[in-house]
Amino acid sequence: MNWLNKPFSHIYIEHGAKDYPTTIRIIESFPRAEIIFINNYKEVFNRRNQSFAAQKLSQKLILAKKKSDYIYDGSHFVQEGDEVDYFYTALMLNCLYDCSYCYLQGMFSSANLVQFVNLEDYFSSITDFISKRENKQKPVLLSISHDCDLLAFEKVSGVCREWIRFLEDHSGFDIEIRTKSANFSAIQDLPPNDRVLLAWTLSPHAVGKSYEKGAPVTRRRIEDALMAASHGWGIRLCFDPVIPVEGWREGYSDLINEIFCKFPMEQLRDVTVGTFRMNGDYFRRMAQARPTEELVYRDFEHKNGVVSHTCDERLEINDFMTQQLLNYVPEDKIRTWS
Amino acid sequence: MGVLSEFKKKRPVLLVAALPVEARPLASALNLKFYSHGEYRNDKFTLIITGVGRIASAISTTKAFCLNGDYESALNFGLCGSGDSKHEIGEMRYVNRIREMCTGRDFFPDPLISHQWKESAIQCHDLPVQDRKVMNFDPLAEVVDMESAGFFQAAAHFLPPHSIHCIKIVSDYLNVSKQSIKVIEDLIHLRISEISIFLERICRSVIISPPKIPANFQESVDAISKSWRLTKTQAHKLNRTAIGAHLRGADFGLIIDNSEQVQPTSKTDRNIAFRNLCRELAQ
Repeated sequence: MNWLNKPFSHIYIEHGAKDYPTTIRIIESFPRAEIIFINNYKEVFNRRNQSFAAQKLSQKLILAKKKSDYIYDGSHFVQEGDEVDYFYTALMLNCLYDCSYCYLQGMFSSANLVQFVNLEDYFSSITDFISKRENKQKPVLLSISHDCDLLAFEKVSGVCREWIRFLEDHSGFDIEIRTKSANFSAIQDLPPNDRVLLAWTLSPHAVGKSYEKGAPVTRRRIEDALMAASHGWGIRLCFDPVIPVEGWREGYSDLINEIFCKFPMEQLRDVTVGTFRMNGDYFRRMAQARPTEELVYRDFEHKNGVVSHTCDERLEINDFMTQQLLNYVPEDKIRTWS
Repeated sequence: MGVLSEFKKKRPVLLVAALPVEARPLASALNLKFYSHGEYRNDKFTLIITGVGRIASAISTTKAFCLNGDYESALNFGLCGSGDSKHEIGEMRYVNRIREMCTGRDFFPDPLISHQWKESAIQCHDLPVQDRKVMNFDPLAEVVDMESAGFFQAAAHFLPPHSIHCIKIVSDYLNVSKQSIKVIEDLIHLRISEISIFLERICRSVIISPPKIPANFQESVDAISKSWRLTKTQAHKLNRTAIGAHLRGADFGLIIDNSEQVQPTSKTDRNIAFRNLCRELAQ
């Protein structure tokens, strides 16, 4: 495939985003990239008739300035309980990896990566948001890696580092950084912060190989999570989505044993378990955009605008995973989506 | 699973040039034959000559797509002017942004396919540009032409942006003196081998075709649909389930063979057999 441009061969930069430190840092990481100035990231990101699958073969980077809507209410697809207020922020759109089950394929018409660079605006927005909250007793968890994998891009963008530093001087909320990367080294020089939840999504090798293209192998993710835990960071482990493939029970059981036989449990905040689920419209678009993905041919249940396994299948998967996890993890630390 | 369907489906590439002098060297190098007025063809390429200007280019490109909508990609090839004397005459440019000057709108080809040229933004004007000050309207767009915006907008109705390309040869510095036909043809001839390499690349499809199950299994699936008198929805679902099983690498020959022996006699039996078959294929 040497006739395709390398990933990030081209960087689109909004005129209004060019002077931000994040932009300058990112451009320095790609000295040979072709720079194209644009007025608004949507001119490129929202072009009609784009091919998500083709663009994944040669992703481009778009550096933009977020103008509004910095904080969103958490999705009902996440496992957070009522004890915390869950919000997320979109610092980046799209992901370096190409997971078959990812909702981003149906959410965005482009596979290109958008990085919002005006971090100060996010910071003032969250400060403002926290100060105006009514129920100040209830903890706030802000996911900063929601529609993306921010840590995977950290060596280039340095955005996680900025957020962790911001947290040191601003109270009232915790952040979650969820990743499939093996990129903890990008922030390992920072002192651990118990208001930062580092979350790794893990899958058995067979699932990772077939359904998580481009993501580091599970062994490297486990090593990274262990390293972060040994540095004193709070860790969340996510078995989400659990993909039932041939021999999935053995695969997930082995994976759980492999992790927890050596994981320092005092650093484990919780474990999340979930089955495949997606907004119905996203699933329909994903099926059109990625016709070679086996998942789109599965006989999922379409109910209330959500595509997922049937209730019985969800129960079976969640029960199995919970039973396996209970060998190592107390029940109150296991969160499931069903 | 193959990522690219290289040469699997031989769809031609549409080449769009404004003038015969731009088209002739290409037609000759690609061994294209006269097809009709302003159109040359072979199996891999269709070259059209649109006439000068944004509108002419848009109309002819649209016409070409309407007469044969199944092009793999489209390329606008032609001359451009430059306001910067640092650019050498004969230099090639791959266009990564097109500024339509009359509207101020920008259009973006999606540069997935690699090439060996420098890239530029281009200003597309409705009249020949002879005053370098005009370039100041968009100083980041270093070269000027009269067709790219029309071509791109027309092609974008039929193709994804990664299949639309504009390449230009710098032929003048916005001066009034006309280049002779011979000089222009020589400029293009010098670049023909580079252009040919790029054309080979854009002949390939980047988009993956939807998967199919092997023909013999497809026949069996169709036979089951027919003999069981499946509803359209059921037949569609069976087909999709079989594709999913094939993508998982499941050996479903035996399941299909066994199912062919089943002959449900009522709707209820048919529906049960259908559900069982789908369940077995999905495992």
